[in-house]
Amino acid sequence: MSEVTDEQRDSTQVAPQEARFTRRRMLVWTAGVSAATVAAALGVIGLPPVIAPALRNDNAGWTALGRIGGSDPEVVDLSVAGTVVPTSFIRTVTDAYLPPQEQETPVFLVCGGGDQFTIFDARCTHLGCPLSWSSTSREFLCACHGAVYNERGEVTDGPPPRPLDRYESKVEDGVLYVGRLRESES
Amino acid sequence: MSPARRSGAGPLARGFDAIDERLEVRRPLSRILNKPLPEGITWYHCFGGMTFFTFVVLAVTGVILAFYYVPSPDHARASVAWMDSSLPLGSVVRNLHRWSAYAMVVLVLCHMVRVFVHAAYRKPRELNWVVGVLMLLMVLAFGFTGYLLPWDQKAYWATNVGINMADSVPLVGPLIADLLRGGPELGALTLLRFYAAHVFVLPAGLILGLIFHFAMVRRQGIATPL
Repeated sequence: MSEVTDEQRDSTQVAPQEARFTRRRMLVWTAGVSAATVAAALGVIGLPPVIAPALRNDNAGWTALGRIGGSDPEVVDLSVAGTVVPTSFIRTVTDAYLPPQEQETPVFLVCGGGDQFTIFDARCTHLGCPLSWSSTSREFLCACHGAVYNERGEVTDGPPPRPLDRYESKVEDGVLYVGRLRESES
Repeated sequence: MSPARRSGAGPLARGFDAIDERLEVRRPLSRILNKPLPEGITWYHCFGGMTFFTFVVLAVTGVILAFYYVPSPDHARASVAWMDSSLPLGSVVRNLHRWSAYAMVVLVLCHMVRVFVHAAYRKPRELNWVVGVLMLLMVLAFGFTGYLLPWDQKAYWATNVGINMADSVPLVGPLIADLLRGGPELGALTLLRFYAAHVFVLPAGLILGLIFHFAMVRRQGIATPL
């Protein structure tokens, strides 16, 4: 027996479908289930590594921003209510396999008196441009599209869809710490 | 194909009927899937299929590795280490890729021995033997290029040894070695060209070879054992 002719090939597919559960059908199902199992196994093993980094929750922890109530006249007194300080904090961030790097994040520190502080993200909520603090008009201004925020972070003019984003903050032993960024509600 | 049979069929069968109605796939598909085999087929005939299975596993895991691997001396080692330590199931995927590669070399050699012992390479199947041998060389090239990519001491020195072997070939040896290294020293360019060969050139070549290999088996049928 050597090559298979076309006639022989065709004769095989006339296998009547009426037949209940033939040897052929059992083999087809066995092959199909085996293939599906292998595909599922590869999927179960392969999908987590692809998806996982996207779901990772970046917890940067707390970073010291400054000491409150120092006696040094050169340093801004943070215990005075209404003081607005454009400043920045540095924290070490790790980007996957790259060596850890220090990243400087500009913020606006608004003092509410005593231990009350608001830390605004210094980026416009419109398209992310850096904001500047105008001490004369007591407003945060965006150079890109003319957005204006008041010192409570509320939008008073321009295109931003929501107030300024805030960082979590806490005071421990007279030191102000900055935590995670919380996006404001529009 | 008759409407009578379609009624009462499951959703899967009805979906297939809908496709068949538009593209007429049932007959060609049935011709492929219901191909009769000659007598005397044994489990030894499965080595080729098993080799192909390892290739599928290697392709899938390889694509996942490509999401994270960086073919640069600065980051190659770190990206591989990060996969092993910080990526969920990362080390599993990497080791699946490694062990499937080992298995592929073993299985493809078993396949070759089987074909040789059965003398299945004889006329009219000489061309398929030639394509098969070319693919065997590609599989070994896959192994050689992939071995360098983790960029650790073992990878570096094993590749160094391999390239020095090529270097000892009379007359053309030094030229081959320089071509493999991309210059006089094993370095950044070597890593990058091994990577390009491993993920672009060799897969393209192997897939092309597989198409011819399988098409010829279908055309000529499986050789009956001696």
